[in-house]
Amino acid sequence: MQSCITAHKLSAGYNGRSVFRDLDIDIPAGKITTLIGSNGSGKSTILKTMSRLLVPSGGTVYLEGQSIHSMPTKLVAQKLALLPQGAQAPTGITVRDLVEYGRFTHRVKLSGLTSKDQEIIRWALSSTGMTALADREMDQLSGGQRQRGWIAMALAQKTDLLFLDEPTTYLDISHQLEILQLLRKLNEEQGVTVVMVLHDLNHAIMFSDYLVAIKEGKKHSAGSPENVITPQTLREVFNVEAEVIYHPVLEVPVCLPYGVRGQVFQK
Amino acid sequence: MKKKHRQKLIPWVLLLAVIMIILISVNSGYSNIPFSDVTASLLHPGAPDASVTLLQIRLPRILLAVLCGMGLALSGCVLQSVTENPLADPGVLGINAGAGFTVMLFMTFFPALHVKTMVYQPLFAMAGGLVAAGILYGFSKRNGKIIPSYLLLGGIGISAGFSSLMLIMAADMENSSYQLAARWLAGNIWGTSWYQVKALLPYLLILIPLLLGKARILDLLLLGEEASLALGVRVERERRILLVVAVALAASCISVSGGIGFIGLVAPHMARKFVGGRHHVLLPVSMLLGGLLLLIADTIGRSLFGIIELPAGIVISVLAAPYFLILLRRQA
Repeated sequence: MQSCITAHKLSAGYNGRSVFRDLDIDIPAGKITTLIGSNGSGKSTILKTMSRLLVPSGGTVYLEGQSIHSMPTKLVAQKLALLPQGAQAPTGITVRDLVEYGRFTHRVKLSGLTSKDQEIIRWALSSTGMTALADREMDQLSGGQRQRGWIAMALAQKTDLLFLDEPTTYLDISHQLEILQLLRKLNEEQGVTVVMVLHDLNHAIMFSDYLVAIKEGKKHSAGSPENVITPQTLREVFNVEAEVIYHPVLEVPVCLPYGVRGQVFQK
Repeated sequence: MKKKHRQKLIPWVLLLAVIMIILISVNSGYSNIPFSDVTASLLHPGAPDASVTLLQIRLPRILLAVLCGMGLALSGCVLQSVTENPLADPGVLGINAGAGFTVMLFMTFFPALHVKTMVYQPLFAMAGGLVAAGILYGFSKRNGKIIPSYLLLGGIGISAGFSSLMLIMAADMENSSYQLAARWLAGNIWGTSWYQVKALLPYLLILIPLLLGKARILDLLLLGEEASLALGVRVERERRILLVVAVALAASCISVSGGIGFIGLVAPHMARKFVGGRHHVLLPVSMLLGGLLLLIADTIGRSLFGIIELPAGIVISVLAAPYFLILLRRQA
């Protein structure tokens, strides 16, 4: 397995309170990796530390063999794009403005957009299906459209690595699937390595090549969805009693919960 | 597309308005100068019959009003974006009061040098403004991050603190210096001459381009700390630079114009309504609006009651206070 970003003995937390300790994670290149785990298990903190938004209290994150926290901010932004959770656009900003912001790290100070920038902006808009909405203001759009706008911004950074923190939160099921399908398409067509945090287990299974289950700041298990998603893992990581069956159409595991914290639901 | 059109047009309209108000302004005031004399003096300033009132008293004052309005509006606009708070402004954040305090110290301890050493007054004001901003920065920082709501609270406190220090100092002053200080505090561009213009100009020529060059970073900072960091902005460093430069700009303007508030609040807010939130247009339009507003206020103050002049700062407050209240109400 070739990995493009690696966490080695990584520890981090907020205000001296440790969230996770001595974590080793390898993100496989060219794949979709999803971090799963219960609320407060440290998934988002891991994502933030690996994308250098948080400074670790110990350990190192290696991006292409270099420590990410000692690399210049602008250089990291050329290699890794990140969509933070619940990002909000200021009022009066159009989708095109936002996508243009994605070019920041590549632009020369005080010069206008080059034809290459323009071309990449057009590409980012069309791959997210936002071309027709490009001149609309972000606050006039629906939740799903807005999220696609943010993804277009991250795409305009033209990175090989895309990190997303709960990209489907607050969206209805069709918009959730649409966003995940878009990520799958970007991964397959552009070879973008995707790393994300998701709460819906079945979505994580359907759209990921590699799962990392996090429990109380420690890596519980990692591997393909078939290997990770077992009744035992679900009990240990989420405290959930569940059957794992196979999806009749897609032939991937599906978990069907029937109890929580040792209690089994009645018919 | 309609908006793009408007964005291109508005700066020119504003520039035209500034020039027109300047022409109206040179001709208004206690002593009436015929319009033909105005144009003649402006076109041939070296001529022996050129109007002294016009060239030595009114013109520098008008230029200062425009320059200070521009500087204060630009500073306010930058502070609003950096603190992510539309109510931030050098006056509200206590920077005016901090700068005012040090200028008063300067006036008290070097009264004789006052006119000849105008050049140093902006430096004193900057020191005071930066001290106020430093205290504020320390106060509103929690766990390494600036909490925007603490910025406003802290600003109000710092403003009150420095204002009372100024009152204590004023109580101890002799009458003539007290008069001078009081007029200055009310925000008066009165008594200005080319000295002040010369003193202010170098600071503006350095600080304004610095801020205008940061338009792209200001755009990104408004996306929030995490998003702008992810896009490649060194957030904490840029915030600090922008704060220091914006404070220095406001303080140097205040050192000549006195305690003028609200311009930094109202002008950027109006500009945002006209041209939207992209800083490469927003910053220059805010500046033009600020210059225009202060010039109008000064012209009104100068011509409303004949021989008695109202300080521009008071005119601005009277005009802007209702606007500020509406803004607060909308935000709640």
